Amino acid sequence: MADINANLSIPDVKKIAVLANIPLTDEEARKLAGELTQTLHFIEKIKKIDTKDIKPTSHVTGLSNVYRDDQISPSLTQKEALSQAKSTYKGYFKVPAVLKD
Amino acid sequence: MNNYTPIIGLEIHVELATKSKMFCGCDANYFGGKPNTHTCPVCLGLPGALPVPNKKAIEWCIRIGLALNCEIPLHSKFDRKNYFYPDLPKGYQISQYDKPFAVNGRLVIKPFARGPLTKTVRIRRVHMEEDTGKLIHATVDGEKCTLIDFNRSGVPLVEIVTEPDIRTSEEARDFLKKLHQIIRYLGVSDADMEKGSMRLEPNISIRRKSEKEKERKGEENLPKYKVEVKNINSFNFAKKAIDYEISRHIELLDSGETPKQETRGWDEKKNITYSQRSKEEAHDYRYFPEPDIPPIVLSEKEKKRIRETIPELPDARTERFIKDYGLSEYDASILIDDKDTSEYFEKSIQQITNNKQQITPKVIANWIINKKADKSTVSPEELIKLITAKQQKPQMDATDLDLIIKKVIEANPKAVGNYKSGKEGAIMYLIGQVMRKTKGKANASQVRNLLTNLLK
Ligand SMILES: [Zn+2]
Repeated sequence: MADINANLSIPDVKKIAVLANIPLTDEEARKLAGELTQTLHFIEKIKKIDTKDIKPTSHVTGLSNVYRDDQISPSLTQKEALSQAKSTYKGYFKVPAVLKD
Repeated sequence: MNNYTPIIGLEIHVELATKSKMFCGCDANYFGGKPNTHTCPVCLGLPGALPVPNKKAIEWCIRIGLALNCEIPLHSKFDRKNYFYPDLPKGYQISQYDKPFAVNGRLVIKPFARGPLTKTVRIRRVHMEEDTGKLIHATVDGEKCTLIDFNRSGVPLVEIVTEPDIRTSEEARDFLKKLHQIIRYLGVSDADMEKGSMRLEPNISIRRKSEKEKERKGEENLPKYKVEVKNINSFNFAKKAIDYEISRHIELLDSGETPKQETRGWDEKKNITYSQRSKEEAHDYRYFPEPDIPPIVLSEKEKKRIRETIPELPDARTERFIKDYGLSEYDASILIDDKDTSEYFEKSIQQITNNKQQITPKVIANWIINKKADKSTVSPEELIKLITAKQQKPQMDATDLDLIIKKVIEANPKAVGNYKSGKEGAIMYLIGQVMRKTKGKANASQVRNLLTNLLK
């Protein structure tokens, strides 16, 4: 998939869309296949940069060991917590059934 | 069964007993709380909220790693594990992927069935993550739906993963019991299986014995499939689930099929496992470094300090009890099984040295093991008093006592006559005479019974 000469196929795009939980029409998938291929090509270009003497990192802030002490701070009320929900029931968030039958 | 070798690994989740959650200040003690009353923008996954790790939870995770003889890498970090499920408000779980807090450990167990032999189970990793919300599958207004309570969301969760070194369901149970014991001793979790603060996930496959030769040569020759049984909440269920899976796989393999690689659930009513229909899609969690949490860099000094917080663990305590108190291995192992019981035993011993009484550790051990006194209501001090009282009035040897009573009857014809003629009070005089002759060693009601029998 990351081969510079390969183009991202429509099934590839559809698989990524399922993982990202985004519904796509066939037309959108076709369009994204082209756009994401371009992105991959751009990454291939970046990969050519010489990074031999650069230490790998997962962060750019230079920070480390940012902690909090184990202390309780006030939570939201149930009403506040549920206030942004589309659907609620007796203090719970309510969503479509995840278990069928 | 004889043609196959079971290959068993274990994954164990332990909820830590910190006061607050893993990445926010919400109260982590959610048990029994009203739904969605322990939440905030962080543990609800609201946009813009920033997680900040709980220092104590990280220390406790490392403490577990050290107690399991793991290496503690100096560099560690958190990662995002991406998947969609309603119990996961952010669409990802903050976990650890390639740089967990502890790796390459081992735990030595003494499986009962192996007699004095021990067995080493390697620990692959111990990492820190967050718990998910709780789902309730319900029907509201005639429609199936799922209700969510996020009180548990973000509670510190430690995952312990073993190598597939376990070969029998008994070994698996022994391992889990020992791990549970250690967690309790470390004081980092109540590890209460019924409340779900410790959850067990065995993974099982079986291999034909003929392939064993390769294992001896040191090749990791694992079967091509693996079945995981999820969220088991008792040692015995874990054992039963493993046994069930082993025979299910044997049946399939004997009929020429390979068991399907899958996740199964445990039905505790029917004592069977069942397939949890999963999407055809293989899990693809697309882990990547958690950008909101800077990496964790430990110093040797810090590691040493955490190591020093580890209390005496069950194995060391068993040995010490045998050596210092002259207990049998059996008695010692029963006393140390539960941390509180072993501490109660030692506090009771201290009471003796303070009081200079002639009570041996073995006697105290017997009282505690045979539950002659309830340790929840009897203090160690009171226990020693009870034992002392009991020792001062030991039951006399029956034949000795019989002899003394007969002599007293012979020597007191008048009192005997009075009693026989209906003066019941005369018996008290006779009991008194017997008690004096036995120097108070006899038990008064026992003497009364013997006397009335002899005077019939
Ligand atoms: Zn929170």
